[in-house]
Order: sequence, then C-alpha cells, then structure tokens
Amino acid sequence: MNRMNPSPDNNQPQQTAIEHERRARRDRRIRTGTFIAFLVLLGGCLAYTGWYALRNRVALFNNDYNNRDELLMQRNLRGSIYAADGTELARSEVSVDEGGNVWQTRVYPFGRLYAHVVGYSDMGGSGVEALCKYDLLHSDISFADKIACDRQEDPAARLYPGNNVYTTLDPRLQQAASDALGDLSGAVIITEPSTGRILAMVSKPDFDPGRIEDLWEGLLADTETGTLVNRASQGLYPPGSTFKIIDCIDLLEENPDAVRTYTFDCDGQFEEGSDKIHCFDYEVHGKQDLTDSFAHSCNSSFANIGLNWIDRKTMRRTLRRLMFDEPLPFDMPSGQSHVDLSDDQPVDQVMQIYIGQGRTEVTPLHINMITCAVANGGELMRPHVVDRIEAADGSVLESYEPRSEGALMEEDTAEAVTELMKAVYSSSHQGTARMLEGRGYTAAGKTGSAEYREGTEDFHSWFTGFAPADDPKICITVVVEGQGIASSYAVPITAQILDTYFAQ
Amino acid sequence: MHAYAASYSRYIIAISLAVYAAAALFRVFVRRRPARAVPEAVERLMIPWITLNGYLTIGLLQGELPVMFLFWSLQTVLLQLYISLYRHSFPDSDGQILLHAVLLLSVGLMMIARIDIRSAVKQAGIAAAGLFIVFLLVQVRTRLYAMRSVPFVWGALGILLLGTVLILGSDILGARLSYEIAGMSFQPSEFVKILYPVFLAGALGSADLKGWKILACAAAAAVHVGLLILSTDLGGALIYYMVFLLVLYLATGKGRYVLVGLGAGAAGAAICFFLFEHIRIRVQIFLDPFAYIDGSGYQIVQSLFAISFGGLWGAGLAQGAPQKIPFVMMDFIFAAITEEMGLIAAGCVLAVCLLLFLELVLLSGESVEYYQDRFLELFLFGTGITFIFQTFLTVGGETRFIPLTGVTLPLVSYGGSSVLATILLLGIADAGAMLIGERRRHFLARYAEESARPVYEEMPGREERLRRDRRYQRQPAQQPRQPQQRPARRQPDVVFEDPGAYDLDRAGSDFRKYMDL
Repeated sequence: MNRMNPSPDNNQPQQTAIEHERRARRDRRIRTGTFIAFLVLLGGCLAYTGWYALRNRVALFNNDYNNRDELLMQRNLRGSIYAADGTELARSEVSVDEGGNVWQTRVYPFGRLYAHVVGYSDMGGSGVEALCKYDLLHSDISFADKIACDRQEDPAARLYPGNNVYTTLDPRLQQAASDALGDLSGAVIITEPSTGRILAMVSKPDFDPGRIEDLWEGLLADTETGTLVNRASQGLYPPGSTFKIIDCIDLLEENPDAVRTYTFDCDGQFEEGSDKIHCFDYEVHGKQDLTDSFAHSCNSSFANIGLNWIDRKTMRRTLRRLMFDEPLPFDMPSGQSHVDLSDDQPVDQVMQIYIGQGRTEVTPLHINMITCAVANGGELMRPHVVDRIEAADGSVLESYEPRSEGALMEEDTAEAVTELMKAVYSSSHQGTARMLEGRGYTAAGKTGSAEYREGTEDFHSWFTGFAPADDPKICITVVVEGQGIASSYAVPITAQILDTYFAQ
Repeated sequence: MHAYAASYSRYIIAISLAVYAAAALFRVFVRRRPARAVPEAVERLMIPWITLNGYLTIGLLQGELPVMFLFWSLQTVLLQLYISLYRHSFPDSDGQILLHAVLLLSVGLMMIARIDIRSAVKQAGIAAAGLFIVFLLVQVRTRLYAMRSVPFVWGALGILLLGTVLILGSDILGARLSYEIAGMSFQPSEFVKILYPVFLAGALGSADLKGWKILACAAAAAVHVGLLILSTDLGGALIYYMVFLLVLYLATGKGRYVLVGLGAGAAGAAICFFLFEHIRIRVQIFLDPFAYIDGSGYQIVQSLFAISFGGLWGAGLAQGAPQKIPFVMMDFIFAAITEEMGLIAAGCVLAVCLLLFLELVLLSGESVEYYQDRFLELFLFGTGITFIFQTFLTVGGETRFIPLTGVTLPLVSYGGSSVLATILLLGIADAGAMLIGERRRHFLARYAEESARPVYEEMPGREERLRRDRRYQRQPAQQPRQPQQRPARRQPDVVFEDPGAYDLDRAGSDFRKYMDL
C-alpha cells in the first residue's frame, strides 16, 4: 500500500512509483495494440466474407453441390424465360396436394425446340435454366407486393413470383434452323456479329425438356448419341475446310500482299518429300490465286500455303489469339477447341492441320465466333443468350450490354478475308457455295467437309458465313454430322435459314 | 404469424443484436455506476427478446412451437434468475462478462436448437452446470488468487493432462482429442485452457522476472504446443502458442522476444508443414477448396455456400440449410448463424466477442492500479487472448480467411468440454474482476477514512454504498474540492497534496487512460 502512497520524505518509493507508472504506460500500449490488432483481424475477416459471399452469390448458388434451390422453391415461384420478342419459352405451374404442399412443374410450350439452349430445370439443370437459376429462383418484387402475397388464402398464390429472364433468341430463326436441320444430327448457331447476341441455337438430336425426369435414365444410358450435349457449344468436330479461314487470317497478317501475289498450280495433289495430300475427289483446280484457292477449297494449295508461306511460330500465336486450347468467353458450358501445331509434328500431320483434318477439334460456337469477328472488322463481341433479368413487376434488375472481347485480327485482314469468303458464293469463281447466289441477298462464308473416319465416305458437313456480305446482320454456323459433303447438306440448310430471315 | 416468422423475424433479430452490441459499446465508455445501469438494462432485456423471436420462428416453421416455447421459457427464467442472483451476491463482479457470455450462449443454443433440439437441451444442461460451478468458485476467489504462487505446478498438471490424451485418446476422424470418463467424452485440451493462463501469469508475473524463468516458461509452453500438435489439435496448438507469445510480451514489454517467438513459430510451422500430411491438406484446401469439393474440401465449400446464401439479412431461422455442412454445430456454427441470421447479425455476434475481449483487457489494465504483483493483469490478458484468438481461428477458418483449424466458437458452438471450460475460464476471470472491485472499495474506504468522514464505521447496505460511490465520482478530476460545491457537508480536515493519485475509482473508470485512444 505504501508504494501507492509516495511520500516526499523517502526517495526510494518515489523512484518505484515512477517506474511503476512507466511500466503501466507501456502495458497500456501493448494492451491497446493487441486489442486493435484483433479488431482489425476480425473486422477484416468479416469484411472479406461479406465481400466474397455477396460478390460470388450467384456462382455459389448455382454450384452443383449447393442444392439450396430446393429451399427457395418452397417460397418463390420459379420465373419464366422469354424470347427476345416476348414469346414465353418456359414457365412454372403450381399445384397443391392434399397435404397443403406446394409443387412446381416446369412447362415448355415449344417442347423440344429449345431443348438445349433454354434447357431443363430439373436434374441439375442445363442451358439458360442452369445459367440463370439464381435469378429465376429469387424474387425481387417490392416489400408491399410480398406482404400482399402473404395475405393470399390460396397457398399456391402465396409464392412470391420469381424474376423473369429475357433471352436474345429469335423464335422465327430458331424454328427455321430446327426445321432446316430436320432429323439430321448436328448443330446450328446464329448470332448477331455487331453485338454477340445469339439469335438461335439448335442441337440435334433433341429431347423434350418437360419430360426430362422420365427420359433421364434412358438419355444417360445412351452414351453413343449424346442427346443431352448441346452440340452447338460443346460438340467437338474436325473443322474441315472451315479451318482455311484461319490459314488465311494468318497468311494475310504475315503477308498482306498474298491476295495479289500468291499463285499455285494445282494438279490434284501436293507432295512434300514422301508425304502427299490430295484435293477433294482428286479434282484438278489448275492455276489459281488465293481467292480461287479459297473459293474452290483447294487442299493442295492450302497445304502449300501451310508449308511454304506460313511460319509455324506465328501460326501458333494466331491460333492462341483465336482462342484455341483455352476456354471460350461464353457463360454456358462450352467445349475447348484443340490444335497441336508443335515443332515436332511431322510434315504429313502439319499438312493435315492446315486443311482442317488430323486431330484438330473445334466447336461450332468457336467457328461462329471467328466468323463473327471477320464480319465485325476483326473485333469479337462476347456471345450471350441472356438479354436482361426483370422482376415480376417489370422492373429491370440486370441488363447485359454488348461486350467486346478484343480484336482477333487486324481490320484489313478481316476485310480481305471477307472478300475471300464472298468468292465462295460466287459462280464466277466457281465457289463451293455458288448455289446460294441470286437469292436476293449477298452472303459470304466457307464450306467444309470434314473426314472424321479415315477412308470412308462419311463427312461432317460444315458451313459458316454471314449475310448480307457488306453489312453483316447475322452470322450462321451449321454443322451436319456424318452425312456427306457440304454442298449437299450444310449449304442448303443455310440457304433455307437465310431465305426465312430475309423473307421478312 | 407464420408470415412474420418467415419474413420479418430475421430483421428484428439482427436489429436487436445490433442494439445489444451498441449498448455494450456504450457501456465500455460509461464505466461509472449510476450511468452504466442503463446500457446493462438494455442488454439484459435484449437477450430474452432476441431468443423469443428466434424460438417462435423456429417453432412456427418447424411445427414444434410448444417444445421451442418451453425451452425458451425455461432457459430465460433460469438465466435471468441467475443473473439477478449473481449480481446481487457479487456486486463487485464485472457485469459485462456475464451478460456477454449469456448472450453468446443463448444465440448458440438457439442455433443448435434449430438444428437439433436434443443437442440444445444437452448443451443447456452442461452450461447450467458450468454456471453453477462458477457461482461456487467465485465464493473462494481469494483462494483462487493464491493459485498464482505455484505456477509450475499448474504447468506440469497441464502437460500431464495433455499427455494423457496421447495415451488414452480415441481416434475421431483422424484427430486424437478426447477420451471417455464415466461415459462422458472429455477433451482435456479445453480444460488445460484454464490452467495455462494461470501458469503463464503466475510464472511471468512475479516481481523478479529472471531469465531462467522465462526460459522455463517457454519450454513448458513448447511442450504444451508440441503435445497438441502430436494429438493433431492444430487449432489448440496455435492458441497456446499465441497466448504464450502475447502474455510474454505484456510481461516483459520486449518486442525482441516476440520476434524470436514468431521466428520460432514460423520455423515450427514450416517443419510441421513438411512433416504432417494433414497440415499440407489443410493448406491445399484453403488455397483452392473447390478443387477438393468431392472430399476434403466439401465442408468448407458448404460453409461458403451457406454464408453466401444468407447474405446481409440471412435466409431466416429454419429457412436455410446449415445442416448440409458436416459437423455444423461444433465447427461451423458461425456459418450457420450467418446463413440463417445474416451477415449483420453475425457481425454483431463477432462484435460482442470483441467487446468481451475488450472487457477482459480493460480489467487487466485496472488490476495494475490495485495489485503490485502482475498475476491478475497477465491472467486476465491471457484469458482474453485465449477467447478472442479461438474466435478468430474458427471464424477465419469458416470464411476461408485463414486455413481451417477445426476449433469451436467459444460459448456458441456445441461441445460439452468447450462450453464448460469457457464458462469456467470466464467465471474465474470474473472472480478476478471481483478482487479488483473489492480492492477498489478498500481504497475508497481508506480515502474516506482519511477524509475524516465516518463512512465505514458501520457496514453500509448496497444502496448506501452505491450512493457513496456516486458522490465520489461526481468530483471533477484533479481539482481540489470546493466547499461551496457541497455546502451541506463538513469540510474535510485533511487535504491531500495529490488527490489524483488517490482518486482510484475515477482513474479506473477513465477509458482513454487505459486504451490510449
């Protein structure tokens, strides 16, 4: 007690008191520092969590391992999905059983027409149903509306209406594409090059998404056809002659004069050492420049370009810029295109690559994106299906503006490639798609017939192009599986779709 | 009613929790007796109000309203009675420690009852036993204080207890943490958390702190940590390590000890990282939990789903899916709270944890004025670190702020050993607060004596004491008393040269002085 009571008479306790005070001040600093440290740690932890959880709430909610959608189904009525013109593509209907339990059933008025792009909501979901699960299941109606809902007698009416999704899809084009493809296996994807809006996306064979639960076992058991796969974005095919677009992009970036200076005399095949490559059907194209080579889809000429005009290293760089071997900028599941042009590839493999054969694989979506970039002066707009999200009362919650993914090529290159692609349509160049000429509109494109089983007459038939050629409004990519050459399948299908589009 | 429970109770609960936290924060700045009664009353009211809303919601939505209401009524009556009795019997107790502990306990019970009512009843029973033991323990607080004289006995006992786990412990999911005594699972590392700060404070708080003592302390602490690492209790090891480091820092005030300690810790962590696979797995999961979503990362990913689903206001009690997280009641209760009550409510719970820590830190500072040895100062500080660092480990782990260590959220999580040990530890800390309060009164009595006022000639009643306290506190700081201020009273005969040094209650009440804010 005495130490607390410094007396002026005694020097010793005075000293102790000063020391005591000094130590007390130091301890105070340490305690303050420790408290502030933990305040910052816990505050930082909370702030980080809030930031992370709120920022990633859609992705975390949509994750397959998170099935909290079942919880929301008890409270909210899953929203509807609409086409760009307001046609309803999917809606939910409510039924109440005797126990007072509320059940929601998903209805797809167009049946199998939108099976892949709109998708199905049960069994984990697919397409737009999976992409927008979070928005469809949440309800952003006003507080007053929610109270009004709560007051309802009918348990079915007590569900809060979920948010609605408006897609960019054009029902007329979707129908035309589906009709044109008919019963054939394959895919059609139609986009708007200047915005990246996807106007139609068809994949066949298809299924009825409203009956997915009944069909599920059968569809899973059938691993051969892969009906559930959205071929337009996930299907991997050898690109065939459509790959020549990429050859030309690289050639013209390396050597812009090639359009004028390049000549090649085709005698039906091209030899490099002991390796040989031949034109389709051993056709002899004779003396031709680049435009003719492209229009005729001359394999020998492009093997020549690949080996003698293009540097492998720059080609690799071009391929990387064109998004090969990396995920595409697309929000729904998509396949990853693949090409192997490494230095240790033997010459025969390299020639195969340049004419789009060999082990190269691409998705129709990817080819469509490259075509879009050509049509749009080299700039790629991010392809998207969802236009906007609206609450049930019509207020817009989120709107997807066109987003640029950067330039895939120089503007001059895009223009030159467009000229090449126009020639494919021209009968004066004997283009492979000349049957499309004289239908009242101009178009540009490239055909492709990809051999996928060596030595057989089965081909994947490709077409990718855009119209009108000088002011591209739509960009179409068609692939038909295992039927025959492009001019018999992909080209007429494209013609049918374009006729419908321009008939309006 | 149903609509209220489903839609609006979450807002009421979050806002009420925020009111509680605000009152507790206000109480930090108002440490004088008459004024502090207001925030304390608000806090005391908020606890049953929050839980009433919670249990009604759970009962209505899960269709077991009578059970929930009964559980709420029982715990509310018992807890409120306990608080009244405790405050009446121990007027020198801190007040805030008990209230904060009861709030955390109540919120935890509510969350556990929502997941599994049986576990909640069990937890409530253990908590009641703990509170009863605390009531007995604080009666013998002077003897508890005497524990400081033989610190190394407690250190050795702690090592012994931790050692028994290695020998007797049963493997649960790869961790040897507990063994059974008379049918009850018993986790010694939780109880050693009580002995450990006593040991450290006793050893490092002696007036003549010599080098060998620090070394012996470090060695004993290292043995504690080593045993915990061997029994794969990573979280426990980290807590013990951090408590030692910070208590040593406060005891010596030497930053270089902390630096050396941190270096040794980092080296040890690196060695453990390469030695033990389970630690490497933890780190890998932390870096990319989604890559291990099928197996070892499942728990943390589910926790992130839960937290994200709750958002700011939560999904509402009984309207989320916290039971999808494995071991949610033990290790992931914070994620469950965030999912169903929202980030705001969870933030308030964290704020209460921080305020409880602050209360212990402030008490640690107050003890300096009244005790010449530093035992209480270090013990209260060590207790605070134990509490808050464990909170940080579990909350940080659940939110992927730091790697997961699998410790409980003190008082909130389900777990007999953990909740009992935490209640006992906080009870002993409150006993320390009582000792400080008694000393303060003793000083006041001396002051009064020397002011020649016959105040303590007869033992005054509580009301009278409060009134007198108030009288002293109304004095403006550092000013000699003016006779005209109290014309009715007799002029003191003795006037002190330095009244500031004696105005201890005022000194203890000045927040800024202790926090340097």
